[in-house]
Amino acid sequence: MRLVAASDIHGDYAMTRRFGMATLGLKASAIIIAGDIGPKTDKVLSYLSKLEIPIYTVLGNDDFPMDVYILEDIPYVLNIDGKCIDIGPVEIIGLSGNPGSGLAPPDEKKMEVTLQKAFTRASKPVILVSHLPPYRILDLATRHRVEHIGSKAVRKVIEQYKPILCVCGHVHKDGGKRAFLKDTEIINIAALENEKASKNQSRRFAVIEIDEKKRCTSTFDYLINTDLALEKFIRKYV
Amino acid sequence: MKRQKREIQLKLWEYQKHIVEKALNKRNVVIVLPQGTGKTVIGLSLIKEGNFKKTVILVHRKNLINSWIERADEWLPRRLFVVDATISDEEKREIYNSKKIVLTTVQLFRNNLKKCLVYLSDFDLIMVDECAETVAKYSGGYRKNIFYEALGRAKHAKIVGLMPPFMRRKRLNGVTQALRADIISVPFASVKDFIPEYKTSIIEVHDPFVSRVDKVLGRKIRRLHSLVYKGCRECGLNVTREGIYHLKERELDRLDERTQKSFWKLRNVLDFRQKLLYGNKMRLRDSRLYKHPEGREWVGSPDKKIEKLVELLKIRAKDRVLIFCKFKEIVKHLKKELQQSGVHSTIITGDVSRREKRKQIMDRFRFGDSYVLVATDVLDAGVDIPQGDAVIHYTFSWDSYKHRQKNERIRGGEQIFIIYANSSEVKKVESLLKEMRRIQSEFVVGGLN
Repeated sequence: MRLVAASDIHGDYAMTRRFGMATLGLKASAIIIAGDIGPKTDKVLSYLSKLEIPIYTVLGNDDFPMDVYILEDIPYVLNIDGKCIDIGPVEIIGLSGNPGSGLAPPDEKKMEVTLQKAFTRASKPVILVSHLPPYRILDLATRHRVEHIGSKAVRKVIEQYKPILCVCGHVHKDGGKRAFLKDTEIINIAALENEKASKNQSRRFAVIEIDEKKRCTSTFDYLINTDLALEKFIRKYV
Repeated sequence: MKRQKREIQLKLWEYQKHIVEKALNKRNVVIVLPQGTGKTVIGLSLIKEGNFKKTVILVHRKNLINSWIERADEWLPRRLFVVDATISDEEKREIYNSKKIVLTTVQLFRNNLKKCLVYLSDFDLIMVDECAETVAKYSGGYRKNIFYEALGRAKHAKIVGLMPPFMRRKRLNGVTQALRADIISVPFASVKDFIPEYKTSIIEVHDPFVSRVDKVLGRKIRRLHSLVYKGCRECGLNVTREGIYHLKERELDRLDERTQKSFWKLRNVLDFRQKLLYGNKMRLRDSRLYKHPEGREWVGSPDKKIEKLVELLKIRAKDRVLIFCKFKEIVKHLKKELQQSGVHSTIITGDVSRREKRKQIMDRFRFGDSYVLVATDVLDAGVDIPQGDAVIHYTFSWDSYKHRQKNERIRGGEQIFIIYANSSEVKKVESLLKEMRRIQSEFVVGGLN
């Protein structure tokens, strides 16, 4: 089974279109979006729903709480915040990253309760989709202040239930990196949007393969032009 | 090649006696002597002859504790007691209260002072081993801060620092100022035989792909570096060109947003260059380089640097070779790769924290069947391996003092660099060797005193 995952689209419609084409080419069976879809949430998700494959979505801190109604209206789109969804070999649990809060710290207690409830319902290996990374893992933000902005609740739950994979976004600087917490692989897939300020941290998504033995392998992929000469390519993208 | 053999003898050399006498007569002193001239022995005999009420010996790394214990068994049998993190607070308090000579790390000593397990006023002699690493800027300010927190108020006690020479005079003065101490040393001629000679070999590996990418990255780094440097100046932050690479959080907060972004970009590009030159190729699969056809081909091909290293180790199968790498991750990767190529190696990193285990690994390398030892910087001070024949610098530091420290583990032999031809490493090695020659000549001409 092949899944594609993206995060932090931030309303970049051009990149969404390219991402849709890449998903078609990869013949993925589902799409995971780890938050921060807005400001053009309906436009972005409507385009992706044309692919006619399930889109498992959570919201991020830059989305509005009212966006959950948009997710309900669009076909093939499923809000997985606090839910445990069976997708065949594995189950997916989602956690929204405090929508509407901006840069305010998340409500850790509420998040922990939500996750605990979802994990008690799980019976298969779990992929956790959270907008916020676990605390102190791939969460060192540098844009406004240098600090760890991960979630302690997410970290606690990962340590307790050991999901096979945790897909997160939010911290663009640590996008494209992977880390391990106990037996759980954590990948930060931020960001799909084409950021002009930091080109080498954008246009990224992940491809997740799940084999028959329910093992997960993930690779990062990029929406970039690979026909350039090596020197030009390095100058532009690395 | 002159190599002085060390024999266990409970007698001081003439110059050692001279230094002990001088140190006892003065208040705070820094004893500057080359590797292998018996600084530890001088320190121990100073404690023995000085009749101090209570002494603390501070080291900056756990593995230095081992070398002190080994020497203390000969000079001060059953009088030296170690305080390390493995024992409880109560035991620590008891050792501090009842024992006359205590050996501990500077970090732990600071923490114990904070917890009131020990009082600074109890000690009348404080000995700081490798004091250049503890008080100077080498440790990135970390150990320096700890040192001032621990010993900033030690005005009543005598402070004795021990360190090797071969550092710039300005830096040496920085150390003596920090300790409020005078330098004690001996004329160069009397310790000339102890200073080992090294044959230098530079092995260049030809990889056109690396040269091409490194060239572009070099240009990018220079541009970003100048942007950050300019930004720092505009924001009133006074840093050196070298200091740009090590800006701290509180310094970054003073910079404007544009300069901060340039700094993080610079760090990203430097990280990438590091991975390209001596990292694990497989980890580049997550990078954008893997998307380019040429990059994908290169990542999939075998690592030429490791191939060269294996070739070298197979030729020198009967030599004891010490390989230094910058990071733990590279050490582990190297061990795996060497294993696959049929070269058996042992590793030592900060993870090997138990004293017995470290000693076991070191003894196996010194006298046993282990001929290749791959290590991080944890092994750069306080360990004597006179049985070693060569040091391979798989990655190397820019700092000539630290580089020399690594070489001197083996007391003469060969230092080998494995670098990519036509890359930034070539210039780095050249400037490093030039700096080492310059500092050595400064000491040879001027003497150690």
